[in-house]
Amino acid sequence: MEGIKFDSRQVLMLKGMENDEQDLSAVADVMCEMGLVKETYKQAILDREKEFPTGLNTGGCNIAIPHADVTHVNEASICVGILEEPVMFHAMDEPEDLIPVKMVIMLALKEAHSHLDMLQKVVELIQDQAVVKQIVETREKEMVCQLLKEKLF
Amino acid sequence: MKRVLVACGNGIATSTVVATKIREACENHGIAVMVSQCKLLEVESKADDFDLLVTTGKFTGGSVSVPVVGAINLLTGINEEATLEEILGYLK
Repeated sequence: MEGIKFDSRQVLMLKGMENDEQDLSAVADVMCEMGLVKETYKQAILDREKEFPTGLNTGGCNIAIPHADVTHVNEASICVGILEEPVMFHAMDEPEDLIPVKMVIMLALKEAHSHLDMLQKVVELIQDQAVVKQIVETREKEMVCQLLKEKLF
Repeated sequence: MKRVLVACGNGIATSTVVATKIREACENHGIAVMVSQCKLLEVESKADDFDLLVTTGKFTGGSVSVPVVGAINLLTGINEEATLEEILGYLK
Protein backbone atom coordinates (compact mmCIF):
# COMPACT_ATOMS: atom_id res chain seq x y z
CA MET A 1 0.00 0.00 0.00
CA GLU A 2 2.32 2.63 -1.30
CA GLY A 3 1.68 6.12 -0.02
CA ILE A 4 -0.60 5.00 2.80
CA LYS A 5 0.60 6.14 6.21
CA PHE A 6 0.55 3.47 8.89
CA ASP A 7 2.77 2.89 11.93
CA SER A 8 2.33 1.61 15.48
CA ARG A 9 0.90 4.95 16.65
CA GLN A 10 -2.07 4.07 14.43
CA VAL A 11 -2.79 0.86 16.35
CA LEU A 12 -5.02 1.36 19.39
CA MET A 13 -5.72 -1.28 22.01
CA LEU A 14 -9.09 -0.09 23.28
CA LYS A 15 -10.59 -1.00 26.62
CA GLY A 16 -13.88 -0.07 28.27
CA MET A 17 -15.55 1.23 25.11
CA GLU A 18 -19.29 1.39 25.77
CA ASN A 19 -20.59 1.95 22.26
CA ASP A 20 -19.62 2.48 18.64
CA GLU A 21 -19.60 6.26 19.02
CA GLN A 22 -17.00 6.18 21.83
CA ASP A 23 -14.91 3.76 19.88
CA LEU A 24 -15.05 5.72 16.62
CA SER A 25 -14.23 8.94 18.50
CA ALA A 26 -11.15 7.40 20.13
CA VAL A 27 -9.76 6.24 16.79
CA ALA A 28 -10.64 9.45 14.94
CA ASP A 29 -9.07 11.59 17.70
CA VAL A 30 -5.70 9.89 17.19
CA MET A 31 -5.84 10.50 13.44
CA CYS A 32 -6.70 14.13 14.08
CA GLU A 33 -3.91 14.58 16.67
CA MET A 34 -1.44 13.16 14.14
CA GLY A 35 -2.65 15.67 11.55
CA LEU A 36 -3.74 12.90 9.18
CA VAL A 37 -7.29 14.23 9.05
CA LYS A 38 -9.00 17.56 9.57
CA GLU A 39 -10.94 18.51 12.67
CA THR A 40 -14.17 17.92 10.77
CA TYR A 41 -13.30 14.25 10.17
CA LYS A 42 -14.54 12.87 13.48
CA GLN A 43 -18.00 14.39 13.16
CA ALA A 44 -18.20 13.24 9.55
CA ILE A 45 -17.35 9.69 10.68
CA LEU A 46 -19.99 9.77 13.44
CA ASP A 47 -22.67 11.20 11.13
CA ARG A 48 -21.90 8.73 8.40
CA GLU A 49 -22.02 5.76 10.79
CA LYS A 50 -25.54 6.74 11.88
CA GLU A 51 -26.81 7.07 8.34
CA PHE A 52 -24.79 4.33 6.59
CA PRO A 53 -23.27 2.00 9.19
CA THR A 54 -20.06 0.11 8.40
CA GLY A 55 -20.23 -3.08 10.47
CA LEU A 56 -19.40 -6.17 8.40
CA ASN A 57 -20.80 -9.51 9.47
CA THR A 58 -18.00 -11.88 8.52
CA GLY A 59 -19.43 -14.98 10.12
CA GLY A 60 -16.45 -14.98 12.47
CA CYS A 61 -14.71 -11.98 13.95
CA ASN A 62 -16.74 -8.97 12.79
CA ILE A 63 -15.05 -5.81 11.57
CA ALA A 64 -16.15 -2.22 11.01
CA ILE A 65 -14.61 -0.10 8.26
CA PRO A 66 -15.62 3.52 9.00
CA HIS A 67 -14.54 6.20 6.54
CA ALA A 68 -15.57 9.70 5.57
CA ASP A 69 -15.56 11.96 2.55
CA VAL A 70 -12.15 12.84 1.07
CA THR A 71 -12.64 16.53 1.93
CA HIS A 72 -11.97 15.75 5.62
CA VAL A 73 -8.63 14.04 4.97
CA ASN A 74 -5.09 15.47 4.92
CA GLU A 75 -3.08 12.33 4.27
CA ALA A 76 -4.11 8.89 3.03
CA SER A 77 -3.83 6.62 6.06
CA ILE A 78 -5.46 3.95 8.18
CA CYS A 79 -5.91 3.63 11.92
CA VAL A 80 -6.88 0.36 13.58
CA GLY A 81 -8.67 -0.09 16.90
CA ILE A 82 -8.58 -3.51 18.55
CA LEU A 83 -11.42 -3.87 21.05
CA GLU A 84 -10.73 -5.89 24.16
CA GLU A 85 -14.47 -6.32 24.62
CA PRO A 86 -16.66 -6.42 21.50
CA VAL A 87 -18.66 -3.27 20.75
CA MET A 88 -22.02 -3.38 18.98
CA PHE A 89 -22.11 -1.79 15.54
CA HIS A 90 -24.96 -1.59 13.08
CA ALA A 91 -24.51 -3.82 10.03
CA MET A 92 -23.79 -2.23 6.66
CA ASP A 93 -26.23 -4.44 4.77
CA GLU A 94 -28.94 -4.51 7.47
CA PRO A 95 -28.72 -1.24 9.44
CA GLU A 96 -31.40 -2.45 11.89
CA ASP A 97 -29.16 -5.33 12.99
CA LEU A 98 -26.51 -4.94 15.66
CA ILE A 99 -23.37 -7.06 15.44
CA PRO A 100 -20.46 -7.40 17.91
CA VAL A 101 -17.29 -5.93 16.42
CA LYS A 102 -13.73 -6.75 17.59
CA MET A 103 -11.69 -4.68 15.16
CA VAL A 104 -12.20 -1.26 13.62
CA ILE A 105 -10.23 -0.36 10.50
CA MET A 106 -10.70 3.37 9.99
CA LEU A 107 -9.84 4.53 6.49
CA ALA A 108 -8.76 8.03 5.57
CA LEU A 109 -8.98 8.23 1.79
CA LYS A 110 -7.53 11.21 -0.04
CA GLU A 111 -9.07 10.60 -3.47
CA ALA A 112 -12.47 9.22 -4.42
CA HIS A 113 -12.50 5.96 -6.44
CA SER A 114 -8.80 5.59 -5.79
CA HIS A 115 -6.66 3.68 -3.26
CA LEU A 116 -7.90 0.48 -4.88
CA ASP A 117 -4.86 -1.47 -3.69
CA MET A 118 -5.46 -0.43 -0.08
CA LEU A 119 -9.18 -1.15 -0.23
CA GLN A 120 -8.65 -4.56 -1.83
CA LYS A 121 -6.08 -5.53 0.78
CA VAL A 122 -8.39 -4.47 3.60
CA VAL A 123 -11.18 -6.60 2.08
CA GLU A 124 -8.75 -9.53 1.68
CA LEU A 125 -7.83 -9.18 5.35
CA ILE A 126 -11.50 -9.12 6.39
CA GLN A 127 -11.98 -12.37 4.47
CA ASP A 128 -8.92 -14.02 6.02
CA GLN A 129 -10.47 -14.85 9.36
CA ALA A 130 -7.49 -16.90 10.58
CA VAL A 131 -5.31 -13.80 10.45
CA VAL A 132 -8.06 -11.57 11.86
CA LYS A 133 -8.41 -13.93 14.82
CA GLN A 134 -4.65 -13.89 15.36
CA ILE A 135 -4.64 -10.07 15.27
CA VAL A 136 -7.49 -9.53 17.74
CA GLU A 137 -6.14 -12.14 20.13
CA THR A 138 -2.68 -10.57 20.18
CA ARG A 139 -2.64 -8.29 23.17
CA GLU A 140 0.59 -6.62 22.14
CA LYS A 141 0.43 -3.46 20.08
CA GLU A 142 3.72 -3.83 18.17
CA MET A 143 2.77 -7.39 17.22
CA VAL A 144 -0.63 -6.24 15.97
CA CYS A 145 1.08 -3.55 13.92
CA GLN A 146 3.50 -6.07 12.43
CA LEU A 147 0.74 -8.54 11.53
CA LEU A 148 -1.28 -5.75 9.88
CA LYS A 149 1.76 -4.54 7.94
CA GLU A 150 2.48 -8.06 6.68
CA LYS A 151 -1.10 -8.40 5.50
CA LEU A 152 -1.78 -4.92 4.17
CA PHE A 153 1.56 -3.65 2.83
CA MET B 1 -23.31 -2.65 -23.58
CA LYS B 2 -24.98 -3.15 -20.19
CA ARG B 3 -24.49 -0.46 -17.57
CA VAL B 4 -24.08 -1.13 -13.85
CA LEU B 5 -24.37 1.43 -11.08
CA VAL B 6 -22.52 0.51 -7.86
CA ALA B 7 -23.51 2.49 -4.76
CA CYS B 8 -22.24 2.70 -1.19
CA GLY B 9 -22.56 5.19 1.65
CA ASN B 10 -19.86 7.61 0.51
CA GLY B 11 -19.51 6.33 -3.04
CA ILE B 12 -15.74 6.13 -2.62
CA ALA B 13 -14.64 3.01 -0.78
CA THR B 14 -16.64 -0.21 -0.76
CA SER B 15 -18.19 0.63 -4.14
CA THR B 16 -14.65 0.88 -5.56
CA VAL B 17 -13.89 -2.68 -4.44
CA VAL B 18 -17.23 -4.03 -5.70
CA ALA B 19 -17.02 -2.18 -9.03
CA THR B 20 -13.56 -3.68 -9.61
CA LYS B 21 -14.78 -7.21 -8.82
CA ILE B 22 -17.69 -6.79 -11.25
CA ARG B 23 -15.39 -5.47 -14.01
CA GLU B 24 -12.99 -8.41 -13.49
CA ALA B 25 -15.76 -11.01 -13.45
CA CYS B 26 -17.28 -9.56 -16.64
CA GLU B 27 -13.90 -9.56 -18.34
CA ASN B 28 -13.36 -13.20 -17.40
CA HIS B 29 -16.74 -14.08 -18.90
CA GLY B 30 -16.29 -11.96 -22.03
CA ILE B 31 -19.09 -9.57 -21.07
CA ALA B 32 -18.72 -5.93 -22.13
CA VAL B 33 -19.92 -3.70 -19.34
CA MET B 34 -19.76 -0.11 -18.13
CA VAL B 35 -19.53 0.28 -14.35
CA SER B 36 -20.13 3.58 -12.54
CA GLN B 37 -20.12 4.47 -8.83
CA CYS B 38 -22.18 6.81 -6.70
CA LYS B 39 -23.41 7.48 -3.16
CA LEU B 40 -26.53 5.66 -1.99
CA LEU B 41 -28.22 9.05 -1.65
CA GLU B 42 -27.71 9.71 -5.39
CA VAL B 43 -29.15 6.39 -6.55
CA GLU B 44 -32.75 7.42 -7.11
CA SER B 45 -31.79 10.23 -9.51
CA LYS B 46 -29.25 8.15 -11.43
CA ALA B 47 -30.54 4.57 -11.55
CA ASP B 48 -32.80 5.03 -14.59
CA ASP B 49 -29.76 5.37 -16.82
CA PHE B 50 -28.52 1.91 -15.81
CA ASP B 51 -29.46 -1.74 -16.34
CA LEU B 52 -28.53 -2.94 -12.85
CA LEU B 53 -28.05 -1.42 -9.41
CA VAL B 54 -25.57 -3.06 -7.02
CA THR B 55 -25.26 -1.77 -3.44
CA THR B 56 -23.05 -2.59 -0.47
CA GLY B 57 -25.24 -0.83 2.10
CA LYS B 58 -28.99 -1.34 2.22
CA PHE B 59 -30.77 0.69 -0.45
CA THR B 60 -33.69 2.48 1.15
CA GLY B 61 -33.51 5.74 -0.81
CA GLY B 62 -36.72 5.36 -2.82
CA SER B 63 -37.94 3.22 -5.69
CA VAL B 64 -35.99 2.33 -8.80
CA SER B 65 -37.14 0.49 -11.90
CA VAL B 66 -33.92 -1.50 -12.39
CA PRO B 67 -33.06 -4.78 -10.65
CA VAL B 68 -31.14 -4.36 -7.38
CA VAL B 69 -28.49 -6.76 -6.04
CA GLY B 70 -27.01 -6.45 -2.55
CA ALA B 71 -23.27 -7.08 -2.72
CA ILE B 72 -22.18 -7.25 0.92
CA ASN B 73 -20.97 -10.79 0.15
CA LEU B 74 -18.27 -9.37 -2.13
CA LEU B 75 -16.85 -7.66 0.97
CA THR B 76 -17.27 -10.44 3.52
CA GLY B 77 -16.44 -13.28 1.12
CA ILE B 78 -19.45 -15.31 2.29
CA ASN B 79 -21.19 -16.81 -0.77
CA GLU B 80 -19.21 -14.40 -2.92
CA GLU B 81 -19.38 -16.61 -6.03
CA ALA B 82 -23.18 -16.89 -5.84
CA THR B 83 -23.54 -13.12 -5.66
CA LEU B 84 -21.18 -12.63 -8.62
CA GLU B 85 -23.20 -15.22 -10.58
CA GLU B 86 -26.41 -13.33 -9.77
CA ILE B 87 -24.86 -10.07 -10.99
CA LEU B 88 -23.50 -11.68 -14.17
CA GLY B 89 -26.92 -13.21 -14.80
CA TYR B 90 -28.35 -9.72 -15.27
CA LEU B 91 -25.55 -8.66 -17.59
CA LYS B 92 -25.33 -11.56 -20.06
